[in-house]
Amino acid sequence: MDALLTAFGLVLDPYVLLVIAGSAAFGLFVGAVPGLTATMATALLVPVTFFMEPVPAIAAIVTATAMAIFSGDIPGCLVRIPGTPASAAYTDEAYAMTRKGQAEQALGAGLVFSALGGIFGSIVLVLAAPALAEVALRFSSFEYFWLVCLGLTCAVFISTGDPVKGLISLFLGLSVSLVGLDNPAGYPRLTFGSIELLGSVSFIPTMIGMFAVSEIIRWAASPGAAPFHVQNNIGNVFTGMGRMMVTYRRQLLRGSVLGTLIGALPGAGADIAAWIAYAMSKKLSKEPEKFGTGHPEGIVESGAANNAAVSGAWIPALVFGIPGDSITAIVIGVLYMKGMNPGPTVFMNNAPQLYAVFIVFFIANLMMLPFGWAAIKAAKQILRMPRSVLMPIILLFCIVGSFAINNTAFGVGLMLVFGIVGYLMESNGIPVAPAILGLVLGALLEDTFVSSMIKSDGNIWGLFERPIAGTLGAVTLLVWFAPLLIRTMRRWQAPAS
Amino acid sequence: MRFHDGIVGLVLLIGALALVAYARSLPAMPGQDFGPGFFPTIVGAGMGLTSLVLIARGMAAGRGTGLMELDTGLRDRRGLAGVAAVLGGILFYLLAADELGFLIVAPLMLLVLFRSQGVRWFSAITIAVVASLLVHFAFYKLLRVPLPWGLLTPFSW
Repeated sequence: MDALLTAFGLVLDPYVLLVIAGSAAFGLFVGAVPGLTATMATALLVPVTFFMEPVPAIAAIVTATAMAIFSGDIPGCLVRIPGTPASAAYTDEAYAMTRKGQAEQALGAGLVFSALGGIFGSIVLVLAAPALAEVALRFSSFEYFWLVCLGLTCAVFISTGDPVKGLISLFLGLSVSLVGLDNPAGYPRLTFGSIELLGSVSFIPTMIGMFAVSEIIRWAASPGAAPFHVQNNIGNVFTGMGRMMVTYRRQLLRGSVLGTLIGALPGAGADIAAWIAYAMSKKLSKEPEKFGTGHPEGIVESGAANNAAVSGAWIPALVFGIPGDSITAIVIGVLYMKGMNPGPTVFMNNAPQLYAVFIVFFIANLMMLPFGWAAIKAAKQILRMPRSVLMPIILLFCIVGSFAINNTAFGVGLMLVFGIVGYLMESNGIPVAPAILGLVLGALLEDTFVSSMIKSDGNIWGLFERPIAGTLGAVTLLVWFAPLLIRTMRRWQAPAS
Repeated sequence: MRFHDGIVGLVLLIGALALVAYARSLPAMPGQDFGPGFFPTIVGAGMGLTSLVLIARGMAAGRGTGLMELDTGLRDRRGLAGVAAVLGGILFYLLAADELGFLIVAPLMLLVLFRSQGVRWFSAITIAVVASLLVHFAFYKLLRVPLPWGLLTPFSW
């Protein structure tokens, strides 16, 4: 109880509230500009939050990402270009509503159900994370090894339709994680004589490169996009929302549950949650023929799902240090920098700070209603902002941000290299998320494996001897080999029938 | 810039082989089965196998898609200039910031980027200078990031 009171004290500090308001505006802006994503918002925020106390630093990221995932709906609805990939699933639907003259309803549904989905995800986070942490306290290197394997497997299979390219991405990330002294043997690997690389590849400049610079290169490589012009004037977006909440209460619940779950799965985040929720909504709907013609049902379900996913992704990140999506992959880096090392012990060692973060989740999602309303009102101006001016300024931010982490130009070099890598990966259909997970979890994977082997005297079966580890191991192997097994069985059955 | 799957696979295969060769060159740990070379070997082997699959798939697909496909924008002068300005701008900053100083390099970089996107001279110069000063103020003054002064050291504030 004391911890909770302290937590409220930490959040209700004027400075923290100012940071939250500022990052809300920042998140809404980034989300509403097509080509800028929520992950990019996070990567750009980190250098600024680097100099803050843990609570405002993490509050800034929580608020900005929640806002950005909502405001990605705005350009999708008004000009048929999603502001972030998380809104892509229902952009056509929302735009169809706008063409029918129902822009207010589409935006209102996006806003209200985003907030509700986000709140649902936050409730699950608050209830599930501490409970899971109790269990995780008993975990040793054996269990962690399998958890990491399972997480990486998830990232490969869920985040992409093409597991081969997913695997390539994962191995690329793991290769980068090899660099430096940070391995069980403490032996410098792949440093090419560079002192900077001894301390492994600096994470934040890498993320800024992968998620921001790659996006800027893509923008420069695409033919001169004109600024968007919004024709419609937007009226009151809250009209009729009460009725919608009653009509679509089941969709809201379904989308929120699904979103939280997908968010919690490593490697899959808000964008995948939205696609799956939209597809499910159509499949289970009583009037599936209306989907695609400007029908709010799918927007409700997937709009709630993507914001629920943002909160859900924090569950494995906080409890196990395994990121649920690319945003929390960056967050894990920030938690380490702030001395709030993720893992079950964070709930004991940093309880007040953690509760403060939980409180911020609720504040951010509630604030979304007035702030989001303002963003919708300002949408015309935001979308009119020429990207030929905006993008170069963001690039300058990236450079200064990459420099600021270690105050070396080396960070800027890393940013450039990974910007090009990210751009090449994306344009060749190689998903980025598995690489990020590989990069974040590579050291943990090697560490847990080697320490498990030391404990079991090099006996590989030791990995299965503890009950939870054995179960996790069996599940992992099943996921790896199930596709192969099913195929063999089918082939075997085919001639018989 | 999209490459044929076969090419992507080939490049990755070479990388994977190099990684395995490197991993084998790392010393063993006395009295330990899993030294510093173990994990890199696994990663290299995994990468190698996956890239073989990709090569096989690329060969099955044939030359239909072409070996390399440029983004639409990279086929015209303006797109090329844009990408060159972004990459060149970062390189220019990397090489010149310490010598010339942030307040000289940043506005120049922005100016080139703006111009490559067709922003008019007057707006380009004004925004380049104002934005650089604002970023400098935010990071140097408020966040205390030691941005380099370079040539302007005598006038530093």
